Amino acid sequence: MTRPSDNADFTDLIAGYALGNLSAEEMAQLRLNLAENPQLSQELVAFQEALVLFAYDLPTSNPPAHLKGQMLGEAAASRSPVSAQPEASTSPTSSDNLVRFRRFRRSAWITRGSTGLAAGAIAALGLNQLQLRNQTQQIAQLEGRLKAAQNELDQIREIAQTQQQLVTLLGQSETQVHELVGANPEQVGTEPLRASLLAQPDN
Amino acid sequence: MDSVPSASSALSETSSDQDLFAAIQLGQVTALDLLYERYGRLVYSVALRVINDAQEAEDITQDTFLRLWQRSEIYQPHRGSLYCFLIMLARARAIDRLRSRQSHFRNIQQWQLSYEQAATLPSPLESATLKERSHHLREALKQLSKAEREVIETAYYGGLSQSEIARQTGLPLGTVKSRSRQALKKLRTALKSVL
Repeated sequence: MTRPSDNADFTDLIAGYALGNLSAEEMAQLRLNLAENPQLSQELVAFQEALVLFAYDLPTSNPPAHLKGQMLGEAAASRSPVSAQPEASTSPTSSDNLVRFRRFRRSAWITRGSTGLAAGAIAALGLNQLQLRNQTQQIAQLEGRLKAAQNELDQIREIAQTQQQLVTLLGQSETQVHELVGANPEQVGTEPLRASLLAQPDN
Repeated sequence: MDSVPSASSALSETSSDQDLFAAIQLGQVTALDLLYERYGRLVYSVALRVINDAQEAEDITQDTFLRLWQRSEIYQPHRGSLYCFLIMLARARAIDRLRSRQSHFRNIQQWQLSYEQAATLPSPLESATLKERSHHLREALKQLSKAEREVIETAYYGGLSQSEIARQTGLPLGTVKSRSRQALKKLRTALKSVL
């Protein structure tokens, strides 16, 4: 028994259809054949599956790692799929989306719950990221202040150390203190410059 | 096959495509995650092969999965395998980026016709793993010459129209068509036991 699917012309049409290279006449002939024998569409699908299967032989490339998270984030943030109801338009308008969204809200509370959780998780993640960024900025500011305070503390310690050395020197009996007074004739009427010089005989 | 998992069904890497799809219809993000893990690389590779632009391939990949997520009714499980649908959709969208809107419409119509008219029984490959599918394909491809494989790849995944291929190869348009059809028929015959 000869089936149409075994016919060379028919399989040629199917192959051409799957490849997208049918002429208008060939397409008309194929439609006619399929209308007469709807079960032949199985063969048409088989040809397309063969083509698709060929994709496994293509050089494979890994999508960037961020793509998955980005896609899932958008999926969670968007509304969930509605129940399978065909629509006339392939490009739904915003009002279509609104109607479908409302229908979805009424009928699929479980879906909404799971999606809400996911969306909530995404929102929480975003909030956490915002908080983290703020905290990072605060930490950076605190680190700056801490560094400035550390420098100031180092200077104070240095001064204190110098003062301590002076006190030690003054406490020693052999230390001699010489008062120096400025004698610049051009500084008439002003307080003369003064300084103290500590000296020890052995140093 | 026709069983639909409840919202609380546990999904895993071993869940069937149909179970994942049913869960996607119920709005389970986990199912979309698993489906992406399973086919994301393949879809991206096809898009990249057609359009030859990494950023565009990313957009197409994301768009393909989100399309299924947001409008799951466009895929009907009893009319073909899910991976076939995803790849055809990704390819059509990639072609769309390459060509005019009119051409895109033709490509979209092409796969829509198949799913509208076809009412197929699931093929053995539908329940096969990726590894098994790759194995079947490798075995089938052994029966095709290198030239035949190239003509299929160029004709379907090259992102060129038949006329463009004819101009590029210097072959008559009729020859380009007949060669690609012959190669595909040979591939289909080689896969007869699984498709």
